[in-house]
Amino acid sequence: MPSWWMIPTVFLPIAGGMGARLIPFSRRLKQIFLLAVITATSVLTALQIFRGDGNSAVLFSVMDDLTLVFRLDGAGKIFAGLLALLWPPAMLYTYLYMQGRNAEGFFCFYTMSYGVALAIAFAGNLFTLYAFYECLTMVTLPLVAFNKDRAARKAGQTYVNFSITGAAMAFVGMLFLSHYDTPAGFSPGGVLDMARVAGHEEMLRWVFLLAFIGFGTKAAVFPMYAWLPAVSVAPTPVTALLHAVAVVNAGTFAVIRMTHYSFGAAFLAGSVPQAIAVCLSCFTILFAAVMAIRQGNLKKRLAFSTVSNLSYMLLGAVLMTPYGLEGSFLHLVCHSLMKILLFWCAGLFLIRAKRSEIQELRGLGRRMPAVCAAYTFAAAALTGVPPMCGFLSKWNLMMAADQEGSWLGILGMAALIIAAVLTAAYVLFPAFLMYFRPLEGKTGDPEGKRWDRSPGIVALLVFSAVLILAAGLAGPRLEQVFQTALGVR
Amino acid sequence: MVSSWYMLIPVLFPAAAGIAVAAGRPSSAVRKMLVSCSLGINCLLLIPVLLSGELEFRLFSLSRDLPVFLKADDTGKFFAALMSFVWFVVGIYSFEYMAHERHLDRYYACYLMTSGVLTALCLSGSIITFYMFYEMMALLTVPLVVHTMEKDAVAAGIKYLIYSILGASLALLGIFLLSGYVTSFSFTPKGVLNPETAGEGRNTVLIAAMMLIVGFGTKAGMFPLHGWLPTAHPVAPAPASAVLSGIITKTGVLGVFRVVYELIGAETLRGTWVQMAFLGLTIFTVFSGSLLAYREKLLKKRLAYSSVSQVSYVLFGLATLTPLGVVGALLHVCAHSLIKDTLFMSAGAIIHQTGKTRVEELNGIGKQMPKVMICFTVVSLGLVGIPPCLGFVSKWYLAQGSLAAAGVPQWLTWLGPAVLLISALLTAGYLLSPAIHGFFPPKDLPAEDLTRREPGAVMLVPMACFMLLSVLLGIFPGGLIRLFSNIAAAIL
Repeated sequence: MPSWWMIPTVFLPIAGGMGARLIPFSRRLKQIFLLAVITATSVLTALQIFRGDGNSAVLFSVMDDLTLVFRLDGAGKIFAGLLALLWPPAMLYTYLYMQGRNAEGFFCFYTMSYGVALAIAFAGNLFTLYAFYECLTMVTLPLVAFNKDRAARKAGQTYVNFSITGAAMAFVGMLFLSHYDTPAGFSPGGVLDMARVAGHEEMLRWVFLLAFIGFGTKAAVFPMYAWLPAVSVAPTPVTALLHAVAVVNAGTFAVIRMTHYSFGAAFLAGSVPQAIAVCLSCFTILFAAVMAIRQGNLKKRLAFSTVSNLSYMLLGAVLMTPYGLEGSFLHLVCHSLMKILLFWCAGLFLIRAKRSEIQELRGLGRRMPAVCAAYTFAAAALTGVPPMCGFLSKWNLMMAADQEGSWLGILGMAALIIAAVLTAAYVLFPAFLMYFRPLEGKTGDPEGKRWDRSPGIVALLVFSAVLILAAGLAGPRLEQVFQTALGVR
Repeated sequence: MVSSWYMLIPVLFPAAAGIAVAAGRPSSAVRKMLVSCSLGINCLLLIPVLLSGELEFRLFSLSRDLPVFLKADDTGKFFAALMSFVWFVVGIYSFEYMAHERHLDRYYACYLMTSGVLTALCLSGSIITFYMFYEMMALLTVPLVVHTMEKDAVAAGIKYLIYSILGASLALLGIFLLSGYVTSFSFTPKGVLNPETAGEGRNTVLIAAMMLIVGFGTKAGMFPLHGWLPTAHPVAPAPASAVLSGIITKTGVLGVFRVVYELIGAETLRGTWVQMAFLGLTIFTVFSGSLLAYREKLLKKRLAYSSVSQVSYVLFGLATLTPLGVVGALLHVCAHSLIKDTLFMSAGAIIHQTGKTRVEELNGIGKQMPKVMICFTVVSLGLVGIPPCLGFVSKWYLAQGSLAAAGVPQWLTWLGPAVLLISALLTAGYLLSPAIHGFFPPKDLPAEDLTRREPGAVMLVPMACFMLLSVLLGIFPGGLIRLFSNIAAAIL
């Protein structure tokens, strides 16, 4: 498949989302249309991944050296594949979740953000990535503030404030990079023009740190983490797909692109800014895990858990080793599979049982057996119980930290181990309440009435659980594919 | 005799039966039928595995060098046979005890699934396989602890979960640290250390060994991570405490056994600080567990402390790194499983029939429930170590093993048997006093405390069965000793 097909692939959902807003369909027809658009996009993406020719597709040039370019390499394929895999089922979940609410605008923006996220995966240079990175903030803002109440507006405000600050820092990084790089676009090992860099190495490394925090804002690295728990007030489909998979992983992906594909790992390894980046990641892992334990609200707790897990990936990335990069991408994929299921369950508790606080989950195991089972399964997976995929990615990250060889690796290992225990505490405790405490409050329903009897919900939960298990069982195969894609040898 | 994939059958069959119970929500009679039949059939299904030679079956891989596979060696076969058998008998006992409880679907579903996981755990061919099933077992047994769902039960369940995860994480960290210094993670007699790299990484290997021992020692109730045992046992239903104490603690023992003899190798550890620390921890646990049991007034909690002490006898035997010690340890695994299960089942019968939980309430209990108390007394004598019970044989070997230990200071080889002896006296004190007061009550006891309250045959037969076995095996220990000597000869 020729590479220019990437352009329609990106603009199909964007145009589809906008179009559905303008054309006066019936509500039902509009839903089917948007789902068809999303499915078609996923198919096109899959074709591009498996049959693409790997060339560049130029959108247009702003200036000579500022060009919007799409080019799909191994790393991009992994991220794009993940999005293509999860967006269609997430759309189905959104329909189930929003049943009976007037949410057409919501569906349209949800579809549009797919295109923007894909563009980040396809981006062939830092400028393209940055441009769509900004777009992603804008296109997801209406989704965050969808409820239109005070809390939602405040969350939207926080979201924008953090995003703009982060983007500004990232912009500075990009500016410096564009002055010292070769116009090659992303390539493994970096694109710095060493002749021009000579004499400015130390300054550039500090610029890296600034850009790390800037792009890391979307990946919620300390001190730029606070927006992610704040936006957990958004409707659950947003928290599930965007703030556990698409947006935050775009942040991680951007950090990886900048670290391994622009500055180059060899240039940064062993420097003070690298050490600071590792320390920030380790601190975020532990800090967010502790904060997660302190949350009484399930979605807030899961949001802090995401903060913690995103820093697992950042840690893998800034270890500056090939295995760290591989572990980082493995966790990016595995964490997404697990976290989306956890959020789906949290959303179902919210709409089917009207329960958002962890203490209110007591006794739900009898009322919502399917959802509680799915939650427990995903929780065990996130804790790292083999053979689910959480074990696979954490093991790889541990191995990477071990092989790194300096004190940074040991620090990373310590953080990962302690965080594993903390994870077990914060994610398994709600499951414990579901099964071993009596139901709270009067419900009026007869004993034994189930609240999760819906084939659609069960099918989605099973689909997601099967993915988690399959990714775990196919561990060596997955590792091999990732190594090939990322050029790790 | 059978092809290697057959090993999956005794793993999957009870798990499937458990899922059937959970999904089908059968009536009480059907459930009893289903549970007892599947547990019984499971024991029969295991027989072909026991009779075959060494089988090996690869399931899948977790990561590049982490294959998950089952392997039936002698140690695994012994543990699997013991666990399935005890699981079956205690399962039968539980029907009467649990008759009036709620949420029995959940209880029996987890009970059955745990049985399958335990078989897989025993037949695990590599440490990572073992770890995987170990974690599954920990999660599946939580519902057994929390069963009553009262406040203290839930608190105990959380404590159990925390200790399990802490122990497992420590073990995983140990496995991880070892990864650079081993040729593979599969269990191989005399260990799998890579002679080229293990020399320079000696300290890391020793630290990893200690982490693995303490990590798996958590389930075996070894100090310093013993705290879950005395909390979880009193609040769990009696059949659950019985298997927790008799079987689940033994999974920790199996873990330590595999690590010491089949992963790292006894020769690497002999005479190092790890062996000293391991010996020291076990001796300390043996003594302090007995002492705490002696001071404890709540019967089931007393039995729990007793388990803390007795399982550390087993670990002590493993820590001596001698063939005699290993034989003693494995004998004591067998003895303690049978005996402690009988004790917990007796305690359960007492609670079920009279509601008495404290030791000082048991005056005259021997007049009320003579058959139960005869079982209790006979196995108590066995646990103290009085011939001809199996407890005597095992302790004899343990003491012999300690004296034969090489590479450790002379005084430590003497301290072991001395503490075993003191602990045996304490055991006599804490177990025989309820029996004595039960059979010889004070004269002024009210008449209602002397009426017959014997439980039904469903409870009595399992107890009697274990009691007889523990005595018979004590009289004819030859077969077991031969088996264990073979195991010991292979690994040392």
